[in-house]
Amino acid sequence: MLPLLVLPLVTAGCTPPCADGFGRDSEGNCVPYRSPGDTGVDTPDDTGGDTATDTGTVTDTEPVETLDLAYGDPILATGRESTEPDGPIYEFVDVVLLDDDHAAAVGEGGYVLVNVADGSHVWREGGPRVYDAAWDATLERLYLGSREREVYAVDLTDLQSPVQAGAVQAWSGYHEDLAADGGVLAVAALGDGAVLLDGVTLAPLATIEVGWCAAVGLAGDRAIVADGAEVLLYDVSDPAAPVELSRASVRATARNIDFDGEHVGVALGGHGVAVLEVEDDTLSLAGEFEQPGSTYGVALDGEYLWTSAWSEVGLIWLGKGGPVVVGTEPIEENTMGIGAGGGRAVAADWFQTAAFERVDGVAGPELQVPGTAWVIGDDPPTAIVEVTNLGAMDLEVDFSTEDTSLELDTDSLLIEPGGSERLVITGETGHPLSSVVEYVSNDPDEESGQLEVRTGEQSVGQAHTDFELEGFVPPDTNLEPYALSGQSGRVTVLAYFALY
Amino acid sequence: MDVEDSFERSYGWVVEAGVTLPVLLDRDGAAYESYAPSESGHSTSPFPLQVVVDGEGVITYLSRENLPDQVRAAIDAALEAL
Repeated sequence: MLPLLVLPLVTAGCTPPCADGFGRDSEGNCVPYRSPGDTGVDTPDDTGGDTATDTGTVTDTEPVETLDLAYGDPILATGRESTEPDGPIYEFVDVVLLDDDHAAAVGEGGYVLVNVADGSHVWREGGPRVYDAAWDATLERLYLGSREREVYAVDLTDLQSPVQAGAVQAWSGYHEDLAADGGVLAVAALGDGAVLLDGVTLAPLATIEVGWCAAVGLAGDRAIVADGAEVLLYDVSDPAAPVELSRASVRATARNIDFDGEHVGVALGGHGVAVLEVEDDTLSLAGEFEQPGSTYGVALDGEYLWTSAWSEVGLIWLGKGGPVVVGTEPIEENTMGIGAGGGRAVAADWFQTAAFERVDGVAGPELQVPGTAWVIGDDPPTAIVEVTNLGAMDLEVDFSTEDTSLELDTDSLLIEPGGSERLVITGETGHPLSSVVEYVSNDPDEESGQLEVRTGEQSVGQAHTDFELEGFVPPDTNLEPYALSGQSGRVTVLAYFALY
Repeated sequence: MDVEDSFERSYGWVVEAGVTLPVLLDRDGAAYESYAPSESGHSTSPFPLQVVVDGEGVITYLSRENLPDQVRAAIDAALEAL
């Protein structure tokens, strides 16, 4: 028996990276890298940094031939606004576009009407603790899914004069995602399935019984319903009698869906994002992609899909040669939700709303590198840095350091789209590392940067520093102090999670 | 280890999730922030973060990916060493 086992997990983990020289294909399988236009399968030795030559400079990158995209930065940040630290509305978690110029960003304490052009706040409206929102343009109604069990309807015929239009709790448990279109509201009610409601009266029309529904989408007379990692297409021309038409599997539980009738964007939490296509009422998986962090929000925008991936906003091109990630853009806090339309997007960035504009027809490499390279081992102290290209074009990164005690195993990496390579930094035995490695890259929005190289205090093989925290054993509500040192002689498992 | 949440917020969720193990409140995130990001120095996701500490207080496993088999193996190894 385990003496102490602390906690389950809220969030699914990341897909493990593939071995060196391998990347994930559209179905998430690890396969050897292939060069654009190469029909054969390369050996791992043919890839990336192994063949990079040190030119000392970053060279221009040719577009991938199969894509009608030129080299450039596809996402521009166009503005943001923060709420007051102790204001009534904060922790934004979702955004829906209301019209070409306005979005609603929802969170704790209500919602904010946002100017799509620059992310600024036009109007703030107090309300419940909101977790998800949907907008029905035909009814001009905003639906707010509270963090409790109610969904509220707000008439926004006049954007700045909201009129409460009812509330409903038509299921037994918690809900996770909302979708609305053409007078129908769909609620992803987790274990209670997907509930379809009349958008005006909020009367229940039908329940689509599935095992675990955390995401729904609606477009005209078609609905998308997630059942765990299955995505189902329904005919809802009679919303009281939905008929299943097709289904497809994705690689992890669907957490958020956007659907426009042709494309389905599916946020997969720590497993990135999936794109599905609907043709002749048949669903098929078009691609699955890693994202910089956990993806909880997706928004279709013409031939593009925007993603909100915790620490960055991403853009996936769905046109010829796609789907392909054309770029990502860092954000300031943490983003879970995003709304988009007409080439612009607004992200819910915790205490801020952030606006973005896409630049059509361009793509670049997308450098992902940690800000800190943590040292493992001390004989000699070594830091292994994983450098990833999440973009659509070859990435070239050159490294340098003024610290003569550091040794870099390479000073240049060439990484194909979707690939990863490692930089190994070695110091001198007996000296803890605290240094800096600088880099330049051909990523159009990250042309230079630096890596801190540090010896971490808490990693495998080291004694865990003691802590004392208050805790409780549910369903008991008593708070008691727990010290790690109090578990001496026992095996302790610490599982960290957070609620959003 | 519930990071940056209040008791009120934590309690409802863990009861609903059926948790019966001790839930510790890392209210300011200090415990969460105290770890090196990962052995490879690469962390793409804030959660999960899983740590196994052996009977002598030494960290034997630390991962920011959900790898149930590896956690189980680390727990088994630490129990065997007791």
